[in-house]
Formats: sequence, C-alpha cells, structure tokens
Amino acid sequence: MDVRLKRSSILRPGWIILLSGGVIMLFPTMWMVVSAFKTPQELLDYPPKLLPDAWSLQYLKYIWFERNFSRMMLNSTIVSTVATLLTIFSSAYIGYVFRKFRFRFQKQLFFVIVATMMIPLPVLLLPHFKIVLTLDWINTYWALIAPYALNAFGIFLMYQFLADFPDELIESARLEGVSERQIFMYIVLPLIKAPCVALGIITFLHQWESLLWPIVAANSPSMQTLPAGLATFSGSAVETADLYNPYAAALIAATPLLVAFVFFQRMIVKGIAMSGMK
Amino acid sequence: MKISTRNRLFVIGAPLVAGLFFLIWFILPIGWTMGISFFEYSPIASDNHAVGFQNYIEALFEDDTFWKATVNSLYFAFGNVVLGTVLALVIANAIASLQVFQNLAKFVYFMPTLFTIVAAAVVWDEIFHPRYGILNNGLFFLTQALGLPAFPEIGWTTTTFWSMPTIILFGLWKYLGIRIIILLAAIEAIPKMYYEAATVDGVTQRQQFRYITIPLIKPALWFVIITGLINSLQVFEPMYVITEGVGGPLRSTMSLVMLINKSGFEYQRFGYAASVSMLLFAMIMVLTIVLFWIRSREKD
Repeated sequence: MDVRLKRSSILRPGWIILLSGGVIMLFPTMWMVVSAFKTPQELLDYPPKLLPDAWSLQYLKYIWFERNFSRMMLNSTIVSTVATLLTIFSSAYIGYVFRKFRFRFQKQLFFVIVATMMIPLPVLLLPHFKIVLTLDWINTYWALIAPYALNAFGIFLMYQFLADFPDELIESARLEGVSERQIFMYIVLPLIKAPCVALGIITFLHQWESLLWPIVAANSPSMQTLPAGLATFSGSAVETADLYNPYAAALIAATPLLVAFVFFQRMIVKGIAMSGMK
Repeated sequence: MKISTRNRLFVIGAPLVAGLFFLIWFILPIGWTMGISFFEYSPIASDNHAVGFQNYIEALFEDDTFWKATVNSLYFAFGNVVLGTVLALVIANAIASLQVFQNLAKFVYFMPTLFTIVAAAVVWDEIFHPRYGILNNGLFFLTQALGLPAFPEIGWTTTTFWSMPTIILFGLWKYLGIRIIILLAAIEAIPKMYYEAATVDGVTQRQQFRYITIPLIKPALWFVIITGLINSLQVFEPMYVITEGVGGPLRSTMSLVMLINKSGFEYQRFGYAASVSMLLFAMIMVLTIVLFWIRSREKD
C-alpha cells in the first residue's frame, strides 16, 4: 500500500506542472552554457546540435581578451561593489539617526525622503545626465556610482528594522562615555547585520543588472559596464560574423551572479524575500 | 548632560547628508524635468526656447508614437503581471505541498532571477531567432521526426504579432522566481491546523486552496500585483536587447522608457523626452492610487 501511495503522489498534477515548468526555467541557462563552447558554424548547423563537437574555449577567450569583457567585468565589479557598500552604510547611518534621535524638521524631511520612492528611476534619466554632463563626469566611475550611493528604500528598511532595537543598549554605552559614532559603529551596526546583508544583496543585484543609466552615463569602451557592453556587442553581430558567439558573451556576463547563487542560495533568497520585490 | 560637538555632528550629519543627496538627485531633478518639458531643449544645443505645452500636445495629440508606446507598456505590464501572478500562485502552491526536493524546486525556479537580465535577453533572442533559433528548429525537427505537418517558421521576434508575446514570455520567465518566493513565504505562514481541520471536515484540496489559501495570502498577492505593475510599466532592457534598441518591428515593442531614451539621446529632444517622462510618472501615480483604492475598498 505504501508503494502505491508513493507512485500516485509522483503522478499528481502538481508534480507534472513543477517538472515541465522546471525544464523551461532551466533550459535557457543550460543552452547558454553548452552553446558558449560551440563554433559560430555549429550555432547555425541543421539539425541543431545539442552539444558542441569540441568544447572550444576560443570564443570565450576572444570575447574576454579582445572584446574588452575583462575590463567591463572590472568596471561592473567596482561600480556594483562601491554603490552597494555606500548604500548599506549610509542607509544604516541615516535610518539609525532618524529612528533614535530627535531634531528639527525631522518628520518633514523623512516624509520627503520616503516620498522619493514614488519617483520611477527612468524619469530621472535626463536630469541625471544633465548633472553628470555639467560636472564633466561622463565616462567616469563617479557618474555610474553617485546617483546610486543612497536610496530611500534602504533608509526606510533600516528605519523599520531599528524599531525593535533596544534603547537600553545605547543608553548604557552612553553612560560609559562611548561616543555616538562609536555606539553606531561598534554596537548598532554589528547587531543589524541581517537587514544590511538583505539590502546589500538587492542593491548589488540591481547595480549589476542596470542598463539604462550605464548606456547613458558611460559609453566609452573602457568605462562600459557588462550589461551596456553586452547589449552593444549583441547589436554588432554583422561586423564580426566569423567570431560571433553571443552565448559566450552572455555566459561571461551572467556567471558571477549565477555562481554566487549556487553557493549562497539560502542567503540570497532570504535577503530578496525580506526586502520584497525590488 | 552636556552634548559634545562631535556627538552633535554625528546626529546632524545624517539629515544633512540625506537632505543634500535627495535634493541633488531627486527633488531638483524632478523639478528640472517638469521645467524643461515646456522647452525645446537639448543640453548640447544653443537654441533652447520655451514652447509652452507643445511637447505635451505633440505627445498626446499629434504623434501616435507616445500612444503606441503607452499601449505597448500596458500590454507588457498587464500580460506579465496577470499571467505571472497566476503562474506563480499555481507553482508556489505546488512547491508548498512538496515533501521532497523542495529546495531543489526553489533553486530551479529562482535561478532566472539571478540571471543578469541583459545576458538572459541575449540568450532568449538567440533561442527565439526565427531561422537559426533552437525553438523553431527544435519544433520543426520534432514534428518531422513524429511525422506531423512541419512546424512553421514563426517570426517570434520579427513580426508585430509575436514580438510582444515573446517579450512577455521572457518577463514571465525572468520574474517568476521572485513572485513564487513572496507567495510561498505567505503560504508557508498559514497555520497547518487550518488545513488539517478542513481535511477532517471533508473539504477538498481545491476548496482548501480557494477558501483558505487565497484569502490568507491576499496581502502578498496585492504586493506582487502592485509592485509588478509599477515595475513592468518601466520595462526597458528586454526590448532594448531583443529588438536591438529600436523597439521594432514597426514600433511593436517600443516601450515608454525606450521612447524617453530614444527621443532624449538619439534625437536630442530633451523637452519632448521630459514630457513623456512626466506623463509616465503621472500614469504610474494614477495606477498606484487606483490600485490602493481598490484594495482598501476590498478590505471592508
């Protein structure tokens, strides 16, 4: 009877939906990985080949070294990392001060900050470009990072999280004569690691994926980020037809986050779920 | 107790930094955008001049591109959110009832969320290529092998009919994981005893889903729908990559954000692009207010 029960549970519609859905979800990733090692000729073969004849590294190497993807990887890493660290630190600091201190115009300022969450980022594309142009920051890391060094969502997340932070802890440190800056750095920050990690994960993800701002703010080959460079590369198919393997380029751009996901699945899923769909 | 200057600096530094940052990057910019929407303006031209409401008149009444882009953005947003929410609900429910492989299922469905969107769009573009893509070729090969009539060469990315459904499909795939995770968390928070009691009373699985699960995860459902609509109205990347930056064929995948980018940076018409930006802003505001209104009415 046990055996029969098990078999029927495998044939339940839920399983069939999950399995077929899972295949569709995985297919593009798998297809990218195997196709990245094919020759451009193999990509056009009919009937289509599932696996490459010889797992060739030629196109990955070509894209990495000669199409500047190594430089773009560096740019993306610098921009995403710095923007993320700045966002975490400034959000925690500002969220903490707004939660635990009283000062003039506090309510009004907080209202304004939270209200900026309503502004869709594409609406700020033109003025941000104007600012960056005026400052002569086009094609610099400053341009890519500065508008994203802080955001209302981060401040709000920290503010919410700090609601339950025990005042006694801060008070007793104060009585010991610890300065406010030290209390924040050495007592508060270590205790709000969870929201910091969550905010860090989504900020990094956003920055790594970002396309609209980077194509506007930094279009020189040496300053392009991976998404911007990849979009340009995939649009330039004709001129490099004999060496054109878009899968290899996509693989390079997608690998860091996919690998991180394999190793830190739980943390990443938890972090993203915690900060909602951003 | 006397507060030292350093401590006061620590406290006053936060509103100062925040105030300056949001003033420079949000408040002034939004005002500037509104301002130049009444100008014929380009940051590199010298003959910038006020034109009153001309940019808005052009967008709303004279040129159909704005409406085309609006319809496309709404098509994408509603297609993506309606289908995405239903699918995510079905799959989250199926994953919640799994006794084994639950983590594997989460991993598989969440993976596209971590797949850098531009890279993913490049891969989809190749898979959906009408002539060389594995989708058409695979289906053709399969129908031949099975002795069925040959599968036609569908122009997934090259015909006005299929281009948007293809991009919606991409959006479904890319954003399903995050929706599943949010709904799954809500489903798992429902106390098991509700279902146990219902089972004892002879309530079927389907009825349990309809009368226990759905009502109890309503807040999460609303969250997925509202944020989904707001975000997908700002869709840009898949179109930019899959239809090579032109929103083609025949503007059938030109979204509002693409129109802002194109008219601003390709045609150097910042004034017109700013008026489109303000209209997009207004549209999202109205939609948000309407959704919250529906939601609050439903609560009582």
